[in-house]
Amino acid sequence: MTPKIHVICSDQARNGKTLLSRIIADELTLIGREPMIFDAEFPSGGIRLYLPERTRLVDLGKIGGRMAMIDTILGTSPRDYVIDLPCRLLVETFKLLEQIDFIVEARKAGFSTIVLFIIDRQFSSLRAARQVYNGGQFDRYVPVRNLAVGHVSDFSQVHNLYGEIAEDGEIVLSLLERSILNFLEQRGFSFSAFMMNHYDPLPHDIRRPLRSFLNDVFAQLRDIHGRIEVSGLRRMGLV
Amino acid sequence: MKPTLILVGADKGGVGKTTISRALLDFLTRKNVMSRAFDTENPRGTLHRFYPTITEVIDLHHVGDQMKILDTLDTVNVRLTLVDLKAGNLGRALDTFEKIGVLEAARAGHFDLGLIHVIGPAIASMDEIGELAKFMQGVNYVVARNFVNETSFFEWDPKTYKRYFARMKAQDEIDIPKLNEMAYEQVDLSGVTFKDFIDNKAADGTQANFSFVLRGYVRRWCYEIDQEFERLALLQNLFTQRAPAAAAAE
Repeated sequence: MTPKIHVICSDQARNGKTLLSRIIADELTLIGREPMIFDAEFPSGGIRLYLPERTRLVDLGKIGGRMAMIDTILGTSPRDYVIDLPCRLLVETFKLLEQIDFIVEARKAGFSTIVLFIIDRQFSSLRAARQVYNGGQFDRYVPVRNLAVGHVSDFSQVHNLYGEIAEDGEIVLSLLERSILNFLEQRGFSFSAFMMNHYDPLPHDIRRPLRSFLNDVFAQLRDIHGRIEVSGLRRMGLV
Repeated sequence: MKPTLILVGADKGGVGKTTISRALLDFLTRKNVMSRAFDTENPRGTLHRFYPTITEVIDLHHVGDQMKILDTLDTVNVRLTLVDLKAGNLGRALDTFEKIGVLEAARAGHFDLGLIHVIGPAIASMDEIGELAKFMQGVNYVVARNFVNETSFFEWDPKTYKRYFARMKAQDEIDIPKLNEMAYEQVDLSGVTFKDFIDNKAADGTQANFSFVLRGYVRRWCYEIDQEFERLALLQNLFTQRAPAAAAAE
């Protein structure tokens, strides 16, 4: 499997970016991929609170932080990366990536870059998602709908606009009970440890829906990863 | 083919003459236009540090050094000669060139002569423009507004601007975009050309280890500056007169 750079982003705050970043990082951990995470929520940190041993906090508002992240990705042995990008840095970061030809250089270095954009309730969020989609030559662009925060008000009216950016697949995060979300927000909680039963015994009303939720998201991620691999093989004429 | 002589200068120091000379030489290299340079910052030679193989440090007020530039324009195997004038030397250099008939020869069409006048973020730079007007007949005059080291630039008052330029004919203007300070400093410290920095090559030609981010900033800056240079009539002449082999190689 080719190494992948996952950029998790949105134009809005508090809609599940860090949750999705954690799930992706833990899914990669479960399949033995040893991902490295860049937490751009500087200085407080977001995902670092949950996966401190894998996470590097970077200030992408400053050139030192940009160098720390990009030079690490392109200057060290390829591995999987997860970038948890706060909404305030969305425009600036994608502008930087475009300016320095990051996607092209990453591709040359053997990476596939996947942008996962969480679309919030406002129509402006769909517009922002389309701007990112139109602005980059990513290997995969995946819109994400988090049912816990809702989606653009009347989905039927924006179906065409959404459909275009979702043609390579989408991820839907299904609803979870508040009690489960509270459980997930415990500092240091790891989905991979949960899936390996490290937290047992757990009450059934947490364990079963959480496992079902994770299996659902993992399946969607694997489907997207699989499509990227097939595209790569197709490019090489092997499929 | 007619040779081209370009002077890069300003009467004020620290406005970016050598940076623009470097950027121009880089641009010409990318366009496969062979060039040579003279660095009049005698004896130090900042431009020479970045382009040692094509640059010679000279004293423009020595007759022998004047001959090195001017008497070889027709015979040297390059299309373009660039002279990076030392700070505070522009007016004097033009005066010398006028006296020894260089400007007259350019006006008569023996070669193309261009002046890239680099101006900084001060009104004193505007005063220089008026002082140069008397030399500029027949010279392709380019004003380069240099943003490379500045976070902001003075606002050009349209009336003042028009007043200064009223006496000048056929001038072009280019803006040298801002380059990230750290990227600029890193290229400077490395002593390599912008092109080599982008290509991650050290001064001795070996593989370097420059930051990808900083290289990206420089690449972007060169792209933007190329667009500015491409607009200049003076340089377009070079491309249209280029040898077919060079054009094919591009």
